[in-house]
Amino acid sequence: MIRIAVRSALGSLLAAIVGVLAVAVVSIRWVFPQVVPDEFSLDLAARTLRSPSTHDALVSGTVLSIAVTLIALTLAWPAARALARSSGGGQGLVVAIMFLPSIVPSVGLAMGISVGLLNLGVDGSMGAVILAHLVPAVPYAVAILTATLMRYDHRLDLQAATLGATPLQVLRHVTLPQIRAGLVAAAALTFVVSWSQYLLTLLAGSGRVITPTMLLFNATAGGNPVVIATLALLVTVPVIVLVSFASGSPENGSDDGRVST
Amino acid sequence: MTGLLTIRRRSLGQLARSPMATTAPVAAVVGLGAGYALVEGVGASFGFGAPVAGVPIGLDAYRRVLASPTFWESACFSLWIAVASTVLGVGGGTMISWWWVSRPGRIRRIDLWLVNLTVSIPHVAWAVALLALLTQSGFVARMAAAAGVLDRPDQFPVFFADSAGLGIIAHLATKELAFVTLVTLPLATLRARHAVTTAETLGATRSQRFRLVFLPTIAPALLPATAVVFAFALGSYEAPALLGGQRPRTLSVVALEYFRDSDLTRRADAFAVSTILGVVVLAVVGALWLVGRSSVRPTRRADR
Amino acid sequence: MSNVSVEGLTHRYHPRGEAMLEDVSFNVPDGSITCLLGPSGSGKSTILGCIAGLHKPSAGTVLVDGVDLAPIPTHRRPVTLLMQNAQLFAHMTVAQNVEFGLKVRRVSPRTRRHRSVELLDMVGLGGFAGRDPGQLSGGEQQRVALARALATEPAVLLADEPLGNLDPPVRRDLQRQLVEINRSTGTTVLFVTHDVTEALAISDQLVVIDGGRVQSSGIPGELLRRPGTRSVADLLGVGNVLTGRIEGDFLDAAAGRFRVDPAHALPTQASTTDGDRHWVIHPDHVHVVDACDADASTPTTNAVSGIAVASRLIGTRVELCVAVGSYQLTAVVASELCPPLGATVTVRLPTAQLYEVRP
Repeated sequence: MIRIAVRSALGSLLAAIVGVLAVAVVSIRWVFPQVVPDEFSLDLAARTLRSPSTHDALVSGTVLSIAVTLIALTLAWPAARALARSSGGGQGLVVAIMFLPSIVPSVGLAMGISVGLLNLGVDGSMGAVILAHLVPAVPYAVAILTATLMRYDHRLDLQAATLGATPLQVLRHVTLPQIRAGLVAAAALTFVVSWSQYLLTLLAGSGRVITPTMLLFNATAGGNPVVIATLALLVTVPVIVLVSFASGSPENGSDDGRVST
Repeated sequence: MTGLLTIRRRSLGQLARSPMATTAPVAAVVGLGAGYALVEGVGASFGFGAPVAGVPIGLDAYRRVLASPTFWESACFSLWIAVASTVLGVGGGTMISWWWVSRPGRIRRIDLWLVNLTVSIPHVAWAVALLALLTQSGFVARMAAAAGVLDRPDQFPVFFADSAGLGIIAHLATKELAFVTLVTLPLATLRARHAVTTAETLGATRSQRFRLVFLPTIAPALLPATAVVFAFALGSYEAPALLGGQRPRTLSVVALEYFRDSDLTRRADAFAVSTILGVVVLAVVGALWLVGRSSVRPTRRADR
Repeated sequence: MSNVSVEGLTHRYHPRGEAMLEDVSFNVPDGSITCLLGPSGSGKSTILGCIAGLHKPSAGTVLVDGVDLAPIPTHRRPVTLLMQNAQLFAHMTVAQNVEFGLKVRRVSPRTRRHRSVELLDMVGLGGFAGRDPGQLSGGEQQRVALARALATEPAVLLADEPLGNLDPPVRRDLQRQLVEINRSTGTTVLFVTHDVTEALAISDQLVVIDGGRVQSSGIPGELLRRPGTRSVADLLGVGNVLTGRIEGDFLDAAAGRFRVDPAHALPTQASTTDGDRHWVIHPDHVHVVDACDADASTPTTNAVSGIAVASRLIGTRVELCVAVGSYQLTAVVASELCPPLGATVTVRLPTAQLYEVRP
């Protein structure tokens, strides 16, 4: 009973949001107390989407987030593997370091990172923003990958080795296919982490790197509701799609933990 | 000769595969990134470093900040928002975990999807969405008008730019609730479920099962989650920036404003503010850690 | 000292994949150890789940001391459950685990402590009160779980294959301990297992479950002689099934012609006199006659001769397979008396030990 209530609460909230935004997107004038706007047009929405600034932001944002994802996963992989296998005390230290970005207040973190990049002389560039995004992205990727690898029985690798496979063959034919779902989840969610950033992008990029999320933030300062809604959907729809990919994997706790009697 | 070389090669390879080596790059990126940011920030608050070149070294920044009345007003506001949203988020998330676990059957995929989505939606978008729904002329208000509950927008309660930060709290709490649910779910489904059933067969009522078995079992995930959630709430920028008004403002908004001021002394002030925030978070994390130690491990008693 | 009465227990809907039950009825006498024996998936664990209140049966009743358990929620039922995984609470000490049932009943700390000391001594874990459950071996953990389950003096202790994960010596130890505790405290025990040896070792009464139904029940010794059905016979290791027609007092089977006792026949089968009847004899009762008496094959002595084709060592005795034509008979002999493989042997099936079973 309660479960249904909670699910419908969250569900209807999300549905309302998407719905409202979608309607806003297509409305011309939508004032109180109209529940449904009396005039519709896709005109402004289309223009917003077609505009060069939107295009540029979309390209920048996508390239940025893909780069961050790839680098984060590459760095995270060996670490996750080590963490999944070991149970030693050194693991605690690494985990503690990993938690650091989530404990440090994001304002302070963003300011400090941007200052650090300034010192390195790279601020304002795409590279700087990528580096900045890695700080929250890498721990996230490590966490998800570690969870994935912990579920993976690495004795399968040993089996393959005894059957004559080289380490590379083991990786390609045994390990990766098994953990594919977890890898997809890690990639998707890491992308989302980067895609969602506002403050880090703003400070590290010195305002020169524009992503759709930043466009949205700027638009809220007195922009046209239709434009705001369009940009909001532009930012949100990829997230919904990627999260759907990620939710398919068992890492997200869809174990039912059955009590077997 | 070749013997020596092979020995060296082997140990290098082993070194490369050792846990230290593989985790080092990650630790470097994160540790350096975050740690450096911390050090720079704290240092700058005392006047050190290029970002605050020309600013005298010392506690001036702190003195200025602590003397300003807006600081205290914002501090109270920030603290209120952080505590309120953390209580709601952690409480709500724990409840959801408990309800999911104490009901028989699998957790439906769609529920997980909803929770994941709520966590992942960018703050900026979520804030915009809440605005669309809950402003006085927002969607909920219009539905209420259609239902005849009210006639004018100003009859709908104020959520944004208000002195209680209700909208901000709503934003943060919903995100945190989903996060806490997500983080406690693995422990809840894998371990707590069995333990709770055992407790049930031993005669524990629902409330006893929740207090004596469920909470201690998920504590290892719940306590760090609470720390993360509180730190997040205190340091969050986007939500208060978009949903809050001019007065009061949260410390995070104030800090950023100082940071972007062309006057470098203001920058030192910005770092002072963020360092203070960091200290508060540290205190809370420390307190939670102490709570964790005392209640999670079994208390040792002398064997008889 | 309590009895349990299960009547017509049926469980059809299985949201979590529990096995189905169809019209299960049996009695657990006061203070006895009753074993539910059956292969995996036969439904025995589901039965325990219904008694404990973890599953709601589609039909049927469970009575403990005449009281219907249906309206009573799990945590108020007078039963406790011991599972294969000890499920000790990791965040509590051993003593706190044992005291848990008393704590939730608001028993005073003093009384609780006294009781936990008493129980830990009873299961042989005297000085373990302050230990961390994670440090204990599998056998020790199960003993703590046992102490915990007994602390509240339940009317019935339900045990779901609790010894399945343990090494054989530890297992035997705990079996003995369980029987001892049952004798000294008088707690009724309903024990589920798929291990025949275990069931035979500890139970006062055996109930055989297969395919969600009760196949047979009775005292172990009786069931070994009269399994009741072929499947139960198979399960209990009563492997010699002779199939054939009855003519008067004789069974005409593939292995030969044997005199049977009409009192050991099943009245229900008698009505279908045209069909095949099935009789069994436990390998222990198949008598291996000295190979010198090779020519005695008269029906009155129920002896047949065959070739020894295989043997298997069981403890100090040997299970011998004798091929009589195309049929294989199993007998058990002392290893020193075992004839060599390939030798001609005579085996005798005493009339008194032949019992009919349902197909």
